[in-house]
Amino acid sequence: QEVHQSPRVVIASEGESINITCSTRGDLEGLIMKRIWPQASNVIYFEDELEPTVDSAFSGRINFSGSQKNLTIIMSLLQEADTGAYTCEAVRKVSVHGLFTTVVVKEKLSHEAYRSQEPLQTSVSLPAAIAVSFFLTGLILGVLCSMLRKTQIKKLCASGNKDSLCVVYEDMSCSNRKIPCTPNQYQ
Amino acid sequence: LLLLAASLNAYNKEWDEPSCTVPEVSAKRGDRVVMACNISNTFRDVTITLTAGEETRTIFKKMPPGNYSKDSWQLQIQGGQAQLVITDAQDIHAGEYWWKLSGFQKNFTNFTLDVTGPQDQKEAKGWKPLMFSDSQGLATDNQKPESLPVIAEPQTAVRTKAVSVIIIITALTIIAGMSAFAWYKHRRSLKLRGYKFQQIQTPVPGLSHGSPGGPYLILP
Repeated sequence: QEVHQSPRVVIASEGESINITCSTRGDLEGLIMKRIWPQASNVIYFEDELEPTVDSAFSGRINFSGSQKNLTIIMSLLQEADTGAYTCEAVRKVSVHGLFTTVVVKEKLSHEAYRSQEPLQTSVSLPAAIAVSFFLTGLILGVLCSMLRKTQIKKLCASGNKDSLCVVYEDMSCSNRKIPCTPNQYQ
Repeated sequence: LLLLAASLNAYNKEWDEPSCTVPEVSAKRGDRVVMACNISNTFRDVTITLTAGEETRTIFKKMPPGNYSKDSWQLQIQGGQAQLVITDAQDIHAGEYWWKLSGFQKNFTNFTLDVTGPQDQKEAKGWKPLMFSDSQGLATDNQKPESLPVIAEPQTAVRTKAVSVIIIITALTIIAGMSAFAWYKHRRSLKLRGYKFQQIQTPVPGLSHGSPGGPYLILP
């Protein structure tokens, strides 16, 4: 790009001021800033040693600093209707324009209106915090339950191991002569 | 109040809004050719150059309102009207004419003149009549913006989104941690099972099988 424009996005409240800087390389006859969105229109035309042109929609609200090759356009007393996309264009045989600057002008809230909006912000964040808390609590409980279950399983295995060591052997042989065999009385 | 009024009137408020005749002109040799441009304000000066091939020559340079003549070119500037007349079109007049219009702003526009000879009489029948047409505005810019801009959201919405993103990231992190922990436990339990199996197969020292004939207790 031969035309460099900054910033890319700027957010301001009604009545505030913003600066848009346009820098160009190479020869140019002048510099024009256009509003390309929501409606296409010319905003300013600046040429060294010549009286600038400012559109009537911005009359009395624009000042300039610098030269046509490096120009800072100061937009003051912003209005909500100024919201849009602005682009700088170098005036020459084959015109070159830079990227655009998105300007968002917010409604200026009065002191009382600002107070009424505070509870809204608080109420939005409170449910979110509660939800997060419950979620984390559920996860922690799940971990604890899994750990307890693990412990119980270990105990059962341990008791099983002990039982396996208690083996009782019973001699069912009748070959021993020392003790005579007695008939089975239950037959 | 006077200073305020003076500052408010320090800048122009009017745009030139140029409008010119059709940009492509075709004429046969010997014809009279007219190219014209109008602006809504008064001309400060007009500059006209002719480019033929790789050569560019200045026909008129920074001419204020008035009448001027150079060879076969005649330039007339009055108020917001400028007119270039070629009285006897010849090959040397063919090419691209660049006009720099200076009023409250500077604008560029161009015309292309094609001069045909007597042997091209058939083609001459199809040449277009001169008429005015609106230009593209300042600096004849046909380029369109690459894309429509995305309007930035208000601060409240931005905060809400930030909080939502934080919550989602936290949840995903916790889930990933839980998964890793469960996997670790699973692998550890598998190792323990393998150890127990080996322990059962290995004979325990000091332990021997009972043999018939040894001391025993007769069950009732």
